[in-house]
Amino acid sequence: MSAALAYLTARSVHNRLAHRAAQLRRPRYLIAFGLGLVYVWLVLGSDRPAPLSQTTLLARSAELIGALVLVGVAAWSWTVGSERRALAFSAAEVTFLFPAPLTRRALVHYKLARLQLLILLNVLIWTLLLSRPGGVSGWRRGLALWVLLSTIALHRIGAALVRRSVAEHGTVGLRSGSRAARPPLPLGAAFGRLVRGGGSRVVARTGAARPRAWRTAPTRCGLTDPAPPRPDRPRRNSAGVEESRRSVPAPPRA
Amino acid sequence: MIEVESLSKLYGEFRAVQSLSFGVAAGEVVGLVGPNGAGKTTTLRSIAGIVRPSDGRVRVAGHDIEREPVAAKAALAFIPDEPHLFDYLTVEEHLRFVGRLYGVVDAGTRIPALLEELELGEKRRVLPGELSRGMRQKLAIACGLLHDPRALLLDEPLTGLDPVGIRRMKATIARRAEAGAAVLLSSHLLHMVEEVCDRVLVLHRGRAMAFGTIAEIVAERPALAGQPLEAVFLALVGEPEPPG
Repeated sequence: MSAALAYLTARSVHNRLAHRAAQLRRPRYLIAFGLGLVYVWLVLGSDRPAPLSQTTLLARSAELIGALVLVGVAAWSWTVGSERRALAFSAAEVTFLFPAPLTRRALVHYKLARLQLLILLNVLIWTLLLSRPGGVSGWRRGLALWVLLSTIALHRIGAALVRRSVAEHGTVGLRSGSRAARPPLPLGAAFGRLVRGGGSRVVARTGAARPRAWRTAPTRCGLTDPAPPRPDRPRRNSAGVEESRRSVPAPPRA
Repeated sequence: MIEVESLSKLYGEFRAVQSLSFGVAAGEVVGLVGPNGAGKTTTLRSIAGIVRPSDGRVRVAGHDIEREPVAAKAALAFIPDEPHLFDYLTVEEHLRFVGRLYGVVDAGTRIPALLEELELGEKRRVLPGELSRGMRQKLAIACGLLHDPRALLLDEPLTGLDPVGIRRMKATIARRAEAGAAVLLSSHLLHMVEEVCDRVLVLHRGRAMAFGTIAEIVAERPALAGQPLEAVFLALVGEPEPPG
């Protein structure tokens, strides 16, 4: 992003915050802000339920539901989503940036950077809301949520750009537009595979402790917490063979 | 300075501009006139690189707007009829931002002078939401003039300005042209076009109906001899003059 666009972003964020802070001088804004703070304090400070363990049925269902939601979002983006919202520029941005000596690449980078600001704000909020004592560390959960939300946002943009390109240029647009959607496709396919295998896994192997694929990590870390140690469960060695439990004494030799 | 060859722009099936060709030389002021929907704004936005032409070529300062957009756009400024400004940039920050965007080295000295010239000095720390329509238009004009563009595109430049602002804007246009800029402006105010412009391009339904000085246009139509631009315009777009 060029220095000018960085200046635009930095000053806009600064002035927006300053404007909001100045509004607090008015009683109704001050009361609303106070009520908001009390609400956040109640949500974050109260005794919240124990961590949602990854081995519980609820957590595994959350993982499956998360994957289904992702597929739903992707399907919506490719079928009925609005292509006009892809990298939508405001009237001011069109007026100032389009006639300016900037490459199209610089404009796209600028919009993606602005999108990241929004995503990071959402990550911060959801990390705070989902954090529980003894759960996944805030950084790990935040990273997982960032991967999740960025993937969704990029895929929606890619799909919208392809649809727009096809609408304007037909099959030629499909070829050139598919390049825009390519980066999110591996992740989209990974979530597709998750759903394909996830249903049976959740239903049939709820108690199985086999290692998960890296591709489900964002959903798992973002929405659930690690399983607490369970000493009564059988362990497997590196060959996958179940080891005998220590609690069971060996039979006496004759 | 501005060369337009066979420019066409389609919105779906609708032809907003059809095979338009004209040029604006350095130091010249050309006026785009035509009824609503004639294609004036689309023509200006195509030259500015805001919309991509469906066909034809546009060159600004010798650079093709499609092949060398950065070089072409560095030489031009587009001032729209509606002053769309950033909600959370102050008046002065708008100008600082434009200075950085176009690499204006001496922006620090130009900005105060421009703010004073356009009577925005007292509003330099104010957000656009607190400005009147006329003030916002003045800021948009200031942003367009900061980098001394060699090609100046103005879409209805006098909209929202008070009489003093209108007079200053006319003087600014004349001054920029004298300094060697090519100015292309659209307006419904035919008396202003007559007063300010060297040549006139009359558009109707996306097509050029006439292009040249008013004398040249009238010379091609002897029946219009001695008529003001308004009568010429109405005759060209096929509208009967109102009685009275």
